[in-house]
Amino acid sequence: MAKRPRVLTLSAKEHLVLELLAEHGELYGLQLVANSRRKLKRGTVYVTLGRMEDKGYITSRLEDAPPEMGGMPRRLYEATPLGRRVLAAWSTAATHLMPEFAK
Amino acid sequence: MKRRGSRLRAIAARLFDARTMARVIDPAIADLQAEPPSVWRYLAVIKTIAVCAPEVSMKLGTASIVSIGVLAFVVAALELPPLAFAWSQGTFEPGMLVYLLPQGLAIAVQIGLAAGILCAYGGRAISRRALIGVVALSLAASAAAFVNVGWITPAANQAFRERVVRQTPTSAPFARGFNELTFNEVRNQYRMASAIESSNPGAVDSTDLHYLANSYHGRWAVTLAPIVFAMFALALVRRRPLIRWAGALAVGVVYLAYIFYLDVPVLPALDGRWLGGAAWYPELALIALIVLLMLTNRHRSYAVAG
Repeated sequence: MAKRPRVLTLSAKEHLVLELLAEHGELYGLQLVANSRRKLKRGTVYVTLGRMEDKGYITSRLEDAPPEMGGMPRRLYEATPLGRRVLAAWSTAATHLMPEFAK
Repeated sequence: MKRRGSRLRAIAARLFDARTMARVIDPAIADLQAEPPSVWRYLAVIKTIAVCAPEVSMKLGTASIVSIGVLAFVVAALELPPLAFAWSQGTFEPGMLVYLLPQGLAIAVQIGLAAGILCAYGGRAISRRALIGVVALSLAASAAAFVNVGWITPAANQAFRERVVRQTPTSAPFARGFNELTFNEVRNQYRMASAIESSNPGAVDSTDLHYLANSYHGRWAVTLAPIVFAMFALALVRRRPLIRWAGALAVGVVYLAYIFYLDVPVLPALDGRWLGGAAWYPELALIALIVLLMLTNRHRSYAVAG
C-alpha cells in the first residue's frame, strides 16, 4: 500500500524557532530562548527542538566545548530547507488569510 | 570532580532511551554546564526532564515500573471499600489483603498494562517486533484473567466473606453468592435459569437473573479486557502527549467509576433487554473509541523525540 503523504503542521513555538533560526543561522537552545524575548522557555525548548528535528524542520550538530571550559558537547540547531519552505508557506498563508496581523 | 548536571543526567538516563537523551536531555545539560551556576538553571533542566516524561517513550524497565505502580494504585483503590467494611465490623485482619488481591487484579491488570504500553511506546511508531510483544503480553494477561475470575477470585472472595462474617456475633453458615461460584458453576446456573425463564417467563426473579447473567458475562468481559485495553493504548500511542495521557486517564477513571457503580440493584436497569449487557458496556465503548482513533490515526503523522 502506498504510504500516505505527511501532514505538515507548525505550532506557534515551532514557527518562532524557525523564524529565529532563519534570521540568525545556527543557534544553541539557550540562544533561542534568549532571542525569543521570553516566548520560549528553557524548560521546554529542548523538547520542542527534538520534535522539530523529528519533523525534519531543523537539523543539529554537536560542537565540542572549549578545552579550557570542558563539559559536554553543545548542540547547535539550524533550519533545514524543508523548515525554511514551511516557514515561508506558513507566513504567506497567514498574510493572505489574516492581512491585518501580517508584519 | 563531577560536572554540573551529571547527577541529573544519570537519573534521566535511567528513564529515557538513548535517542531522547541525545536529542533532549544532553543539549539541556550541555548548555547548563556552559553557563554560570544557578539554581534556576538547574530547575529548568529538571523541568525539561519532567516535560519529557509524558512526551517521549521510556525505557522498558521504567515503563514496567510505572505499569506496576498504576496496577498497585488501582488494586489499593478497589480493596479499600471492602476493607473499610471489615474494619467497621471490627473483623479486619491483615490477611484479608491477600483474599481481596485476585479481585483487585482482575480489574487493575488491564489498566496497568495500558499505562505500561503508553509509557513504553508513547509518541512513536511501533515496530512489528514490539507489536508482537504487546499482543503476546495481552493474550497472556487475558489467559491469566480467565483463570483468575473463573476460579481464584470466587474462592478468595468467599474466604474473605467467611472471614468477615464468621467473626461477628450474628454469624451463620454462609452460602456462596453468584460471584463466588466457579466459572463452570455459574455457567451451568446461568444456562439453567435462562432455560427456565424462556420456557416460563417470570419464573426466575428478575434481579437474580440479571445478577447471574452479569456474573457470567462479566467474567468473559474481564477476560477480554487486557486485549481491548492494550488495543486502546496502541491506538493512543501516536497522539499528542496531552491527548494521550488525558484520554488514558479519563478512560481509566470512567472504567473504575463504572466498576464501583455496578452493583446488583442497578443491573436490571443497566441491562435493559440485553441480559448481562452491563458487563460488556465498557468494552463496547472502548472498541468504539479504538475504531474512532484508528480512523483518525490514518491521517496522522505526528511523532516526537524518542
